[in-house]
Amino acid sequence: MSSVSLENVTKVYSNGYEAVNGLDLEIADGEFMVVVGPSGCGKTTVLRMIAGLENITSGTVRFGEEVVNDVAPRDRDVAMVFQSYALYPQMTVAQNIGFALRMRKVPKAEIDRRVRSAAEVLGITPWLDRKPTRLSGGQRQRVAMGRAIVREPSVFLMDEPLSNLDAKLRVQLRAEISRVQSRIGVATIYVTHDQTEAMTLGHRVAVLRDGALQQCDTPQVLYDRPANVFVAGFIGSPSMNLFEAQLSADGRSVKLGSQSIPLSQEVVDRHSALRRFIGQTIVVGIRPEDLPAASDERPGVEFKGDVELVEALGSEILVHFRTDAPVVVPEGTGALIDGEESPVKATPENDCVARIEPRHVVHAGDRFCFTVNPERLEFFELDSGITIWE
Amino acid sequence: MASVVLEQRPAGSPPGAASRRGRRALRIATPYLLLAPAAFLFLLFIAYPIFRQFDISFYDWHIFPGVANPFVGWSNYSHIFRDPAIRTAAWNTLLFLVITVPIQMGIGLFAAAILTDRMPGRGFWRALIFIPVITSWVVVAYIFAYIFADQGGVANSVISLFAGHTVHIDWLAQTWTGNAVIWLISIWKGVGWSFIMFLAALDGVPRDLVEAGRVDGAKEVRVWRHVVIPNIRPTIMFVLVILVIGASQVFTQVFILTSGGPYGSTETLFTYAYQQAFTFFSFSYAAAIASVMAIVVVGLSILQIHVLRSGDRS
Repeated sequence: MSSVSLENVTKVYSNGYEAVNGLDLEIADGEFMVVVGPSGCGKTTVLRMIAGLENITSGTVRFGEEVVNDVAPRDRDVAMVFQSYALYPQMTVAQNIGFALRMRKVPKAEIDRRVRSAAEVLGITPWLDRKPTRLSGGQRQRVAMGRAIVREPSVFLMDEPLSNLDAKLRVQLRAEISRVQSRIGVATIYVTHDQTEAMTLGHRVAVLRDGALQQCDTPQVLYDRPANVFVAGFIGSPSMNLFEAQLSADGRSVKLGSQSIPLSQEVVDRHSALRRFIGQTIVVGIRPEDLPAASDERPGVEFKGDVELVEALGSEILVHFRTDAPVVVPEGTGALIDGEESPVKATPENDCVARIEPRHVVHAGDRFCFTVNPERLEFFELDSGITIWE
Repeated sequence: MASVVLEQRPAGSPPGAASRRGRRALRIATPYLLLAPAAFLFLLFIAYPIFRQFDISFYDWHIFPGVANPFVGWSNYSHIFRDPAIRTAAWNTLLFLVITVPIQMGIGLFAAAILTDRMPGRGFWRALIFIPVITSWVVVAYIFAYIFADQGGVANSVISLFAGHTVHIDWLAQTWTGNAVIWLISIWKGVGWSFIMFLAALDGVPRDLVEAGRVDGAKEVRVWRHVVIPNIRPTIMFVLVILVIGASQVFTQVFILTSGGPYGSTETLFTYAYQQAFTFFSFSYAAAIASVMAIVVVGLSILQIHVLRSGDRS
């Protein structure tokens, strides 16, 4: 068992494409770290560099105190679950699980014992004599897990292991992965593009964009205090509504289109850096769950929108609406605002989402009144997208 | 389902039943109609000659019209086992097969393994290996005849340069050197084909599998043994069977380079059969040799497929 640390790790491919840029990341022994980000953000490259399957252009990867930059994958004592499961098709399930032990010349009786033990943990004992081609997706995923845990590795790597499964199975196996990880208790790095997996599995979550680390913290901190608009937009489902807004000259209210939201002294004090943006355009973030119906009489001020679409999910209603305030969508690449490169971009659709209780009656075309609690607002710089806090 | 019911009605079919029957007949006939041209050509140029070959082998058959072709039963076949020249031809064919097939497969697989997508200049090297495959056997054989010519040949000139004196090796007029040149040209010309087959097969091996093997602690040799080779086993089987069939029928290079000489010492079964048919006009004997060869090659192919498949199962 060991910790993993990445220090200023950069990966530039031979065609000049920079997949990872100066990444610093510490994964403690036994910690479950989820690396999340959109497609092409470099998360799989990070995992492959830790596994030794990809050379590092610059920087250092350590397992414990040992620098492993030039250590071959077979000597790193890592186990990896691939997105495709990568089960050896000509071998049975038992042979697949025991392969790594065979390569390490573990005695046959010991291999049998450990294979059976891993199979029992994952509930795959009945299939031990089957070939992978005769297994379902979920069964294959369990075998891939078995192959990884039987090794008792120092580091456990998982590359989007649930992405090929249907939604129901994904939820089931997510819980299983969590259970297995806490049981084996080794440093685990789990790559996914699914923020629900990231939030539910990770002790900490590292959010990547364009090969650069945006924020690394516990799921709750990522949700409550996103470091920038990208994290704010990426974490949470549906994602945070981001509006272009004008901070008033006295700094005591923000104007979203024609609607004004007063800011209490407490909010202004908490976001003391707001003073620097008085009279300027900033980005205001509101989570869909922080937009209840006005008739619920929650604390806050009224905020009206024209309903575009209603999605009744049984336990809640998702109301898609529009206001006259320009909406901002974080982009993977920079966009031009007033001729300047910026990580944020106004979207033409101006589509926002609110999550309200199912008892409300709302239809497309309605002018609906929500409540906004200024205490729950997030503020970001328009140009850099960075959060405005203390 | 409806059309089945209609088919069973003896009389009084509803209107439109006839056209439905016509469409059904056309649907059934379509695959056969599409197959017909190829089947016709196959029967005419492959099946019929094979049948005639077996047929002729039981007669003392003459190509000239009006000459009697008496039935001789198995005598052409029994002659095969008494003919000393055929033993040399069979030995040379076997030697050719045992030497050229594994070397072609080995070099082809090795070249395919190193000329992967990551290799700089791979396009040039791939082309270099494959070009001999698409050149004419006759042209290549004449070029090799020039290279290994007794007088003024390139091989002798190069050896003379290193030896410091003029060397005259009559490569094609000696048993072992003659055979060696035949093996060399065959390997040189044939290796590109197995290379391309293996290149395609290796390209089809999922990268994840190879990497899983590496992460699982296998050294490169063991990754190949346990992951890569089992994944390209069908291609190995295919290449082996095709090369064995080709090697059993070795003809052009021998015919042009040595004509089976000196004194039949580089003769192979097909050059010998050709000689029997078109030099001595013993068509029946040549047909018997070709028939035995066909049976042996088919038997060998079945055996190889069986052995490789059982290996796959285990």
